[in-house]
Order: sequence, then structure tokens, then C-alpha cells
Amino acid sequence: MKEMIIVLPLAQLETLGSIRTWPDLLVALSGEEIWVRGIPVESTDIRLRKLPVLHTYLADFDGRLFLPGKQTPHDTLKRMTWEALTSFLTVELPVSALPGKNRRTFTIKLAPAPQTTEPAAIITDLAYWKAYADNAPLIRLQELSFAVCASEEVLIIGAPMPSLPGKAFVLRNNLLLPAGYDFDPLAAGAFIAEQFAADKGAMILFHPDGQWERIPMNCFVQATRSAIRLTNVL
Amino acid sequence: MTLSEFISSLINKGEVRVAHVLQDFEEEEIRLARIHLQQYYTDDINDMPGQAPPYEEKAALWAAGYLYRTIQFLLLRHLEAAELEHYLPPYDGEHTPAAIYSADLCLRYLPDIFLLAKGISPEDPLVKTLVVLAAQWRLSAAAIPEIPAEGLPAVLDHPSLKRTYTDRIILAKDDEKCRHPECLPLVIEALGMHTAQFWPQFKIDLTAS
Repeated sequence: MKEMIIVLPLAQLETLGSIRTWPDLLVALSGEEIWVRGIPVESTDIRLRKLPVLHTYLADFDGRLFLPGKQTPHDTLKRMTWEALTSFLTVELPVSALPGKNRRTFTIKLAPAPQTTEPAAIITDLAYWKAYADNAPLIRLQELSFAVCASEEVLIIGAPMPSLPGKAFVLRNNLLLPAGYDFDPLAAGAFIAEQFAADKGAMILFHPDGQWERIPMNCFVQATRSAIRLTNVL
Repeated sequence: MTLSEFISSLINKGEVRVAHVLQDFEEEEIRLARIHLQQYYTDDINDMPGQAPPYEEKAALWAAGYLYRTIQFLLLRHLEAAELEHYLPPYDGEHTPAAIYSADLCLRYLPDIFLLAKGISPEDPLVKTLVVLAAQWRLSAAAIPEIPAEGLPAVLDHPSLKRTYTDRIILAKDDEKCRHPECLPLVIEALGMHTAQFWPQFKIDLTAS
């Protein structure tokens, strides 16, 4: 025998995609059927066996068609217009799979922290700060910097932090969190710190209600007695 | 460089020049020096702890002249030792807190000058004169290791000078002065429980009687 020929319904045309790249395959249309020839007689490939085939024939060199296992011809190959399967069944690019949109939001909040951390900053009144600086040891002042806002609140950073009435904060990278609080969930802390990591020129101060503000580092001045005494909010 | 320029440069730049010859200061230089020193005092009290002592012009002016002459003797090596007594007279006023602080406006540079003089020639009569001077002005000599923490009542009796002296011996990391019975309580108060951070080598035995 020369070759195997299979016949499929036209509606199942796309199933031929699985054998499209096989060499020397030819196809022809005949009514509502597709004829495929050029398949090796001995082929037992699973992709071939999975096709929704209507008829399978073995053809000899004279164009006679035999049913598999039969010794006498069943029919003769009609004259049809044959075309290479690769040009008959062209390839289309698949539609781009656009990334899905996750519309779920996750709220990160501050919650009481399981561990205690030494405070690295404090917000206090300017009056308290001036009173402290009046007689504070110089070696302690040298370790501190401060920034004042229009409401006469002072943010002091450094260590050791003076014992002043006010709101204490702990430092995580360049994030100042209210003392006794941490991010909930805890893992979010690393993520948020990473988001602000590039912003070396500022400190990010979080309030217990989740609000935060950016305080540029150039707002801070070295704590000296004269700098503190001469600070006045207009 | 006149005395007033000397003071101005000392305050603003931290570097000075002196005349090549020893000669008395003119009236005009002294007048301008008074103005500079008064302004220096007004600015400096902002950095003094608590209430700074009042200004005493006589002490401030004496100290400025003394410093000027000291640097002349330090740099002009041809000057005779005999001239030291004439050009570096001791302060003839009372060592009140006002005088101590006013003189300190210029004498606070004494430790650096002392170190320089000792480095040039330890046996120089100028060094001996400076040792005598430092022993009289303990606040200004706080950072000179050779001057012990003795004779401090005038300094320690004034709250502002007491804190300033304590700050200076801590910043100088002068272990001997800090352990002096009169100073140790002040040092402990200043360092608190943060000695390990500020001065790890300074061990305080709080159980010692």
C-alpha cells in the first residue's frame, strides 16, 4: 500500500491542527467532508487515532481504496483538488491573555505590638523641649535632632530619647511608628518600608489611626541649646 | 591683625593671626574689642545651660589680650622669657562666676593652645605660665588633663558653670576629673543609664560607698 487516507466531517476541520506539521500531508474538500492523504500506512500515532475520523482507507498506487484489513478494493480515489495541509489550515495568533484585575483590597492597619522597642522619636510641645534643653547635658543634646511645626509641636529624633511628656515613636527603617504599635499584619511592615526605601530624604511618621505624613530630613536641625532657645513659631 | 580682628576671626573662623612684634594695644583696638566681646557674650549665653553669669568686661578683655599675647609667644620664638611676666599678667580682679565666664569666652581655647605649646617645647617657660593660668581658670582648663579637678568651688557653686564644667570633662573623656568626688555625682546624673552608649570605658560602680 502507498498511503493511508482519512475522511473527516468538515465541521471537525480544526482537529487537524494536531497533525498539521506532519510532512507531506495533503487535503481536499468534497462536499461536507475533508479528505486527508499522505499519511504513512504504518502510522499509529495517538494524535491520529484521536481524530474524529468518518472513514479510513488504505490506497495503493493505482488509486484504489481499501478498508483496513480487507483484500478487495472498496472504492477508487476520486479526482479532487489537493492542497498542502500547512497552507490549507493556516495559523492564527491566539488572543492575548490580559492579566486579570484583582479588585480585592487589603486594609493594613496599626495594632498593638507584641514586643516593646526603645523609642527613637517623640512629639512634644516646644515649651517642654525648651525647658529640657535649658539644663540638659550637652552629650545628650548632641545625639538629638528636632523639627518644629506651626502648631508648636516638636518632633525629636535620636537616642537616648529624653523623658518628656508627649507621643513616643519607634523607628523601623525610615518609618516612625507610634510606640506600642506595629503593622497588622506584621509582614506588611517590610513591604511598606520597601515602598518608602527609595525616599531617603524624609521620615514617614505614622499615627495610631493609620494616617501618615512625610517629614523631609532637611526640616531637622541639630539640637543645640541655642538652636532650641532661638526657635520661635510665628 | 588688631585685637578686635583677632577676636572676630577667632569667633567666626576659628583661626587667628597676630602681630610680629609685641606692642601695647591702641585705645581704638581696645574700644572695638569691647564691642566684639560684648556681642560675643550676648550670642554665647544662648548656648550656656540655665542662666549664664552676667558679663564682666574687665575679665573678658583681659582674657582676649592674654590669648593674643600667648599666641604671639607661641609663634614668635625669638621673644625672651623675661617678657612673659610683663605681657602675660595674671588677672587682678576677683574670680567671680561673671569673671570666670567672661574670661572663658576666650580662654576656652586654652586646652588647644596648651597642647600646641607643649608639643613645640614641653620645657618652654610659656608652658609653665599656661599651667599656672590653667590652675586659676578651672572652667576653661576643664579639657586639660594635667590640671586636676581641684579648687572648683567658684565653678561648682554656679549652676550654669557647674553644668558647663561637667559637659566639658565628659566630652574630654577625662576619667580622672570625672571620678573626682565633687564631679562624679554630676557625671552620673548627666550620663544616667546610658554610660554604655556615651562612654563605654567609663565604669560606674553604683554600689561603692
